[in-house]
Amino acid sequence: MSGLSFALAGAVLFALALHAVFARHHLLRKIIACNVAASGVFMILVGMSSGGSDGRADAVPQALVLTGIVISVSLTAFLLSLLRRLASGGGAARLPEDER
Amino acid sequence: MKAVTNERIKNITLALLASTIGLGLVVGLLNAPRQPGVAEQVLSMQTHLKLEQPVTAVLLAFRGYDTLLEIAVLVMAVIAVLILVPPRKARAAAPITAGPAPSPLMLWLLPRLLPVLVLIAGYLWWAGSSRPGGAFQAGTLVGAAAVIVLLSQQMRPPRLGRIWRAILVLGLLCFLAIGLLGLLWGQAFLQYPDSWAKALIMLIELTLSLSIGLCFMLLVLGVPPRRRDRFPGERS
Repeated sequence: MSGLSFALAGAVLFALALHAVFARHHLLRKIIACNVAASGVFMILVGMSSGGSDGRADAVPQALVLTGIVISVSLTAFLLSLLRRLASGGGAARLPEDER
Repeated sequence: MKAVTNERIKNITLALLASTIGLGLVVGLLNAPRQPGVAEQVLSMQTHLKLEQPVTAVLLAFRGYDTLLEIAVLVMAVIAVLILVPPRKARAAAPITAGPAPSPLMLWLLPRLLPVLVLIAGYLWWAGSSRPGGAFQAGTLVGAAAVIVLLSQQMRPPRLGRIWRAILVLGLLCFLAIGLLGLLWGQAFLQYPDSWAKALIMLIELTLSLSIGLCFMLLVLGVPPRRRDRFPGERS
């Protein structure tokens, strides 16, 4: 049951972050929102996995989430570098269509 | 006035869409059938590998492709970040080393903390075979140790010569080479011979730890800031 509550919290986090990705203008906020969404997905994956009969956790979702975390970290670092280049290129830290 | 109304309509629409998706997820999760996972199969298969930790067995053996591609993504992210560094700044001080002078506390702590970090990283690597731990955890600690050294300004960030580049791709190449070795023995790609499985996996994990540590350090360094972004009172 506690696994399901983690999964439900993950779903709520994902929805909140999805809103932020589109509603926020500053790119740093968008990047953070992507990370929150990814964390929501990880919580759903781990929360919905069912363990073996002896109460041990299922290793496959855990390994997948571990892989996902590393991918998410690399992607975040790359996005932050892109953001820094965008900002230092004289532009603001937002996309052209969001500028008013 | 019109712009404000448009913005409000857009926000309400986005909130409605996001909450619909969230609600759909919640309903789906509540009604999802709970099927038994593959935990049993993993536990019955992992005895072949002489590894007691199922997560390590899944990462390096049963889902070896995922981990191989994962380290490839990590190396690619580092290369992409390095490409973004403007050439004339390639040797300039990186942002985290350009801060104010380190405190005496930091300088006192550093020589005492570093051996502990290296020791724990080594332990995590070795523990990966039987307990929670493994290459990624150990690599994270190696990267953290490197970042602390850079923060203390006792060392400048390395110029990425041949040796550093070799370490960067060492884990990926070692993993790939050992994976291909299986083909020579008439087995599948990334399949290890039973008697050698543990030794080969530990070797892969060791090289992976080093590469991952360097990758994380380079990702933290990232792209150097503009000159006027720098900290006040910074030495140039």
